[in-house]
Amino acid sequence: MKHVIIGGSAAGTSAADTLRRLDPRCEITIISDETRPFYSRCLTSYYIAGKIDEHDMLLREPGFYEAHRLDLIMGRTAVSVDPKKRAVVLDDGREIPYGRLLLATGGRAKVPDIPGADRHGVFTLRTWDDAVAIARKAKTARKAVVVGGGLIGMKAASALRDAGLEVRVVVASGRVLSQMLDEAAAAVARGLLEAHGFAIDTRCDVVEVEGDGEVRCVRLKDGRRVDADLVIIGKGVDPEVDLAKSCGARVGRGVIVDEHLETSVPGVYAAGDVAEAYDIACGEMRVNAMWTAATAQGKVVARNMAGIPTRYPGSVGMNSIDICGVPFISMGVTSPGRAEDGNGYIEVTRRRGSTWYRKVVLRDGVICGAVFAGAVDRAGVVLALIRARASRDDAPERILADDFTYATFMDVIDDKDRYFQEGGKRNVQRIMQGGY
Amino acid sequence: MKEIFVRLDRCVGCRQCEISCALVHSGSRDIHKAVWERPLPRQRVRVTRERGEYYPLRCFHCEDAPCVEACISGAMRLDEDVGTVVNDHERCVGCWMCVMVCPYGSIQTHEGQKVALKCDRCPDEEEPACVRDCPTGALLVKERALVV
Repeated sequence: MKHVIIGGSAAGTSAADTLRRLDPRCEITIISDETRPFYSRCLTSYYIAGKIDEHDMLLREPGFYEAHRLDLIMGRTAVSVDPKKRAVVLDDGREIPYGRLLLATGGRAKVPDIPGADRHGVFTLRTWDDAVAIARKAKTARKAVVVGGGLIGMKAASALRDAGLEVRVVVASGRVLSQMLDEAAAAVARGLLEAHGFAIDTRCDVVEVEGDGEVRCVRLKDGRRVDADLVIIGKGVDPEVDLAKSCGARVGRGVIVDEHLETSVPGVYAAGDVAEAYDIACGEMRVNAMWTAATAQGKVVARNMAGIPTRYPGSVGMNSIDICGVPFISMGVTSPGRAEDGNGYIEVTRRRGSTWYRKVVLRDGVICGAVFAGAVDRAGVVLALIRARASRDDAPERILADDFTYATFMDVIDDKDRYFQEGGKRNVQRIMQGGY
Repeated sequence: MKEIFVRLDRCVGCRQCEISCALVHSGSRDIHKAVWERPLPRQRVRVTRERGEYYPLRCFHCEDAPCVEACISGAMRLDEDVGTVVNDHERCVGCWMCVMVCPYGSIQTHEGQKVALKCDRCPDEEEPACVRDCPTGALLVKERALVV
């Protein structure tokens, strides 16, 4: 069988890795439009901050592709897919035939239509090249404006501050990290950021980037002009769905996949930031663009491509971020709106000191979301509860009191969802049975 | 391949494993000096009491580990020869993704050092410190194949 994988990041590489383990003989081709082998997008902000070296972003040893006989085509874009001929067409005209195809094309940073956004010194942050360009500019720049208060925006803002710049964050919504955090946690984050010298404008937007060739200042919606010699646009990421459309696959926000991560076109699969798959916490299809989901989907999709039917249990939208040394983690449904709106959600919260905050969200008694600020240890146990759709009357109270461990909930945490995992399940039995 | 097993009926909650674990991961490995180290040496096994029973909880070294899946820096890796999941402190950036996904809550944040702490099953010791010092025999090392 010849497997072709378009996209060489988390989902693509994880799939290639798994395919090779499952079938030592199959042919595997990876097509990447980037000029670097597998690296960590999530580390780009650490590199800009000066916390790691450029080559630390690489995630595989030199020789990895040769050793696993992965045919890596770099610096080439797949322009179309012909599902009848079963071939991928590259931008240099080459045709690559496939038996099974994986679309792991990821996403593309959104660039809003702001006049002047094409000036030198305006960046998006997604790729290695973006990071290198930003880091170079940050050496001489003094004042940065970050447009967007989402995860990428905040990571970029923190990195630039660490690199010694003055940083202003311009957020369209009423709070920072509005997709990730609820209002209370976002307020904690904002307090920390302001105390550490970040300027934050909420319910605001950049309407124009001014300057000559280089950016000099930005004009805000309220009319103010703010000096800036570096601008980062962090307005989110769109799934890269063009190829999927070209072969006639069903596309929503992302490429819609079934429980085996196959698209509506037989033999064509999708995984990672481009895939719209089942979300366990919301109970609907969603694009969860996260490293951990991409890796997990890569493993499952590889099994299906290798002819071992494997169900993908779904992902839970979640994230972890450090704001000025304080850890934040959120998972599942975090801002469901008020229960009196009749939506069946209940939220319980607890606050302890100025940076410790925690929330548990329940729907019909089942835990479907949580927010942690200030202390995040054992957050994964709560994730396991969400994945298991667990319901235990004392759970919210124990979680808020920070008086829980895996042992507290092991009767309701079910590992069967861990698809092909053997280790974990066996361990559970072992600890429960005790002696032997 | 060896693994640590727990005989729950023998654990009396003495927490010797916690002390031995912290000590073996300290700088001095001398209990009289280790208590003065800053940051304080931390244990990676925790004894917890639930429903009247004691549970010494530590990393299960999953074969298909969620923490490895989630790791953005390549620090968390499965060593297939030994069967352990280990965190390379040189590479770890302290993003806490592993803490977010570990269903057993077995990975701890170390705020001072910005690295994730977990059981490494004492690679430099003849026997893991927790097993060696467990006074009741609740913790023991056995070949994996013997138990399944």
